[in-house]
Amino acid sequence: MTGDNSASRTLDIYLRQVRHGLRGLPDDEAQEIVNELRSHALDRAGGTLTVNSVDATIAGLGSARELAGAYLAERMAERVEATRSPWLILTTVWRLAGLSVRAFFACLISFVGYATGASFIVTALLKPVFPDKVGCWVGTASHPTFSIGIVNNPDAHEIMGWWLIPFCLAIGALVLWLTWRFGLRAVRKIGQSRAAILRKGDR
Amino acid sequence: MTNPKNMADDPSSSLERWETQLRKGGLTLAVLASLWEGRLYGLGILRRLQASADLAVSEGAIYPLLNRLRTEGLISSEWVEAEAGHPRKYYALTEIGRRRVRDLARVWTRFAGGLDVLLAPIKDDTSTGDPR
Repeated sequence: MTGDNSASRTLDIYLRQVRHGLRGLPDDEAQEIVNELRSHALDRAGGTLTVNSVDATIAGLGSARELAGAYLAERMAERVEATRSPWLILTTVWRLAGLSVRAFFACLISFVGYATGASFIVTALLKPVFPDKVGCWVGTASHPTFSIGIVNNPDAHEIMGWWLIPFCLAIGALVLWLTWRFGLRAVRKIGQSRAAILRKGDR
Repeated sequence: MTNPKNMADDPSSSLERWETQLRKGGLTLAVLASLWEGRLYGLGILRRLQASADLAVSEGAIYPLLNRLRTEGLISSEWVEAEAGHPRKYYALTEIGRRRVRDLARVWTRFAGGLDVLLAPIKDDTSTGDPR
């Protein structure tokens, strides 16, 4: 018996929410985290849960979303540092996107960056296949337009020729590299800001 | 990025921010050092940090940090049926963790020692009042 039912129910709901927020982690690790938090709640309550002790525990741990976010940020930042894999960085910013405005924008910018870089590379690869349709297109003086890729505008003319290939490869690689650097930096920052939040010591 | 104008406008908040950053930097060392003399469970570590170093770490920060230190191999964990009547997860330094905390302590001591020498005249000033 660990105290009154209402307190146990409140704690169970909170721990279920934390567990839900930890879905990016392996199952056994997430379950162990939940078990430890339950043990912490019991330690704090001196072994017998009460409504007040559970409320105080939850207040100390923070909201379930924030707590799960701190676990994810700590673990994922560590994995990203270890591998620096672009795919892992992208999936990490995706999983962290719900934690804060900063994480959301980091996710958005990463997706836009990778999509832009990839589209330049694809354009370069398509040029030898469709030499007359893929290019850097400029419109007429009366209808000025500029675009890179496949264009269905009979008035536009191509200005770059085969130079398009090295140009798109270079720009694509640069954009992909910058996006990778940005994602790595964002994961580090999010990890640092969500982990190790300290209160000032009582004096 | 820190805005110098804001720092000048509100010195107390910039001091607070700086202190938070400083404490953050020392937290890994503090947690590892708290385990130097033997294994502890989460709440025990929090109490040790508060009692020995005046470090009030939030409960929501310590467990994710412990989890990371464990996956890095610096600490190990073990569930123990405690006298409290429920199982507790105890943490202990691994061999790698002991080496790491020695290294961190050496760097910290050297840094703090050097800074102390530099700060000695300022400490004298703060005890006798600003001479200007």
